Amino acid sequence: MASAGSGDEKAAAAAMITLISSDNEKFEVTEATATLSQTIRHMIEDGCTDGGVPLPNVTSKILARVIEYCKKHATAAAGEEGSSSSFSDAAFLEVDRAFLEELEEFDDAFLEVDRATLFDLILAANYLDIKGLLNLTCQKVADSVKGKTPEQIREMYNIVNDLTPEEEAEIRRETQWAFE
Amino acid sequence: MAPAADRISDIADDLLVQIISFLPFRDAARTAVLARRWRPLWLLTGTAINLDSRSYRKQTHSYYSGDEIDGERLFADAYDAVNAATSPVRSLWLFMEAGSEKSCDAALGTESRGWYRNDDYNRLQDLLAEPSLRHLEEIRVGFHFPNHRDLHLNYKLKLVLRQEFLPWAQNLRVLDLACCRLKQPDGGGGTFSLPRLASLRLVFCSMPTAHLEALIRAAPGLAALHIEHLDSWCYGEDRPHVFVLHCPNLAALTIADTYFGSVVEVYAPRLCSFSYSGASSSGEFCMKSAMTNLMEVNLNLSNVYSRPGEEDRRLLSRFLWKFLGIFRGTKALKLQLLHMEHLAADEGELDEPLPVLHGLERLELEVPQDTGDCRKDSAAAIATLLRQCPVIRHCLLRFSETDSWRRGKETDARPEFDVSVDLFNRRESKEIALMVEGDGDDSSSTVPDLPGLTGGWFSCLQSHLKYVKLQFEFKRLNCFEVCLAKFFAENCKVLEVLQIEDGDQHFLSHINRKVERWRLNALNQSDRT
Repeated sequence: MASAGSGDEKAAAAAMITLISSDNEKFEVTEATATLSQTIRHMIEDGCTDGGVPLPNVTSKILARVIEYCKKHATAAAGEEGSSSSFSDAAFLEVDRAFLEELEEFDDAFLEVDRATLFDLILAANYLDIKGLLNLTCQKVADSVKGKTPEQIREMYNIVNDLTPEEEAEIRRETQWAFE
Repeated sequence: MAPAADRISDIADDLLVQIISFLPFRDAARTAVLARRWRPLWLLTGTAINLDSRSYRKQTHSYYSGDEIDGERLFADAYDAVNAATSPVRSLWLFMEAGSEKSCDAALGTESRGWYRNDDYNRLQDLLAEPSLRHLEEIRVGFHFPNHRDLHLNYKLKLVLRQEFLPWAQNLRVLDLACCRLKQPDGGGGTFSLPRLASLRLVFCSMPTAHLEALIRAAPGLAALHIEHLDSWCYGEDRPHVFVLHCPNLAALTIADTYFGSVVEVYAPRLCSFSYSGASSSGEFCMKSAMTNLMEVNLNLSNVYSRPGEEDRRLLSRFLWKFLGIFRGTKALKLQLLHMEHLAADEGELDEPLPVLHGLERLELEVPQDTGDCRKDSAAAIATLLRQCPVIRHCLLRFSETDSWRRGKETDARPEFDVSVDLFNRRESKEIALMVEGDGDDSSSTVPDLPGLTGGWFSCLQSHLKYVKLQFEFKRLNCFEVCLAKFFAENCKVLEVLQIEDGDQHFLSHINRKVERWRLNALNQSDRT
């Protein structure tokens, strides 16, 4: 059982991809992990990943987090395939349910970051086209805004109100129902 | 230098729109006033309308209902949203949380006037008839009554499924309804169709059987069907004896706590997974298609009530094996039973031979913990099961403490008694611990053999069963579960993992040490012979 993980890695060792962050740090990841990103998947399909994939929009700090997310979720995807088709020995009984719970806990813990990091993650998820990560991070921002007044939201995110008082009053009249 | 937290201004508009789309509708609209740049954004999120009664609580002075819902405003907002949307609305969610049935009815416009309950009108049905909602792909309706658990039994909404009422029928992919009374006025006239519907989920709904049949026929692309607590009935004269589920593309079928009152004929050649839970032992399924894709079957029969007695046991056993016979090709099976011995079947007393589950690789069986008086039958049940599953590789047996029904009763009635029993158990456990830890080669002889199992020959034990996991609460060294562990340790020829979990008690290491010794003894013995 304990050797199952390393076995998977060995099998995939043939297909490693190098990702290069904006500050020139290199990350070796398996193809399964990398292809959670549609952007990278297309690059692989087009055969232009030799010599590494430069990601000029993503810093090493953020890229490391993104890879952490992809690794976890790539195993999840692989686990699902395994349990429904081949019943691999490593996918022991009940592993699926426990793993889903673990995945949820992972996501929750993953989102425990400061706001600047959260926004960087959104930008990276968008650029790399990782739908799951984008939804997760956008949902997190939405949750933080839910139920707050516009004043509270502005303060929270340092949004400068550049509307004139007349304009603001007009908008409030238009969408009066939302402010009652 | 810009303040560190002001990174939201780095986010492009389309991403802000995405963030706003996760907000309930009112919160979304309020973002218009944040700054100039934000003003038009919320209008671009019109693809999803998310109506949640929790954003529409209104203060009342009535002392008993603290949480009236302002339904008028909720639905007015919904119309505003539909009209304001600059791109087609693709999904509509309605979630109602109400403290009382009355406030829920009031919000939906179905409140009774005097003795008369206004059944033919509700605000949702009205909204759903809006022609501008014709692009809807997803409709989800849910209710929650935190104070009253039984209120869901009253149907909150009536939806009449008639093509001209339903502008979105051509585009709908997901229909997920709770607490709705569904009706198709023409009893399934040929004009009604849901060509793109892929997922249908009905929870606590009510519908005449014939109409449900027609609804499913109208959706030939259906891939997932979930029917839970459906109240279905047949009209007097044309009562059909057979309920037909005709689903050429269905992959996942769930039927939970629903009693159709007739044979259910299923035509689903692509079925991959089937789940059933029910309290009746007369559920009759008849498969009209070969199920070559069948992967997993999940049967929860732990609520099937049976009186003690040989006759009932035989009836249930026959029912159970007939059920299993239908799904004999499945690769994985999860089975929850009230009594292990329902699996035991004497071939002599059956009309036809027991089905062989020839493809079954993974088995998960959950039964209440052995009560001590039916060990022989439980052993016979395990023997029957092993005999009928020749290629089983993974086997998980979970012995739950007691069935939930009994546990609920006892804790409610006598909490103090429970505590003292627990203390007593713990003291007893210590004695067991000493016993288990006691060394010496002859200690294995204190675990008795199982009649019917020990000494039997099972082909799956010779070449297939590799992973066995037992979950139970350790009670005493000669309890059925420990005997079973010993049996597997000694008789599985290709065993790779025998995992034992005993809940919160920490005998795990002790039992597992014993398992090693049993295994070793058995190997030595087979070497000698």
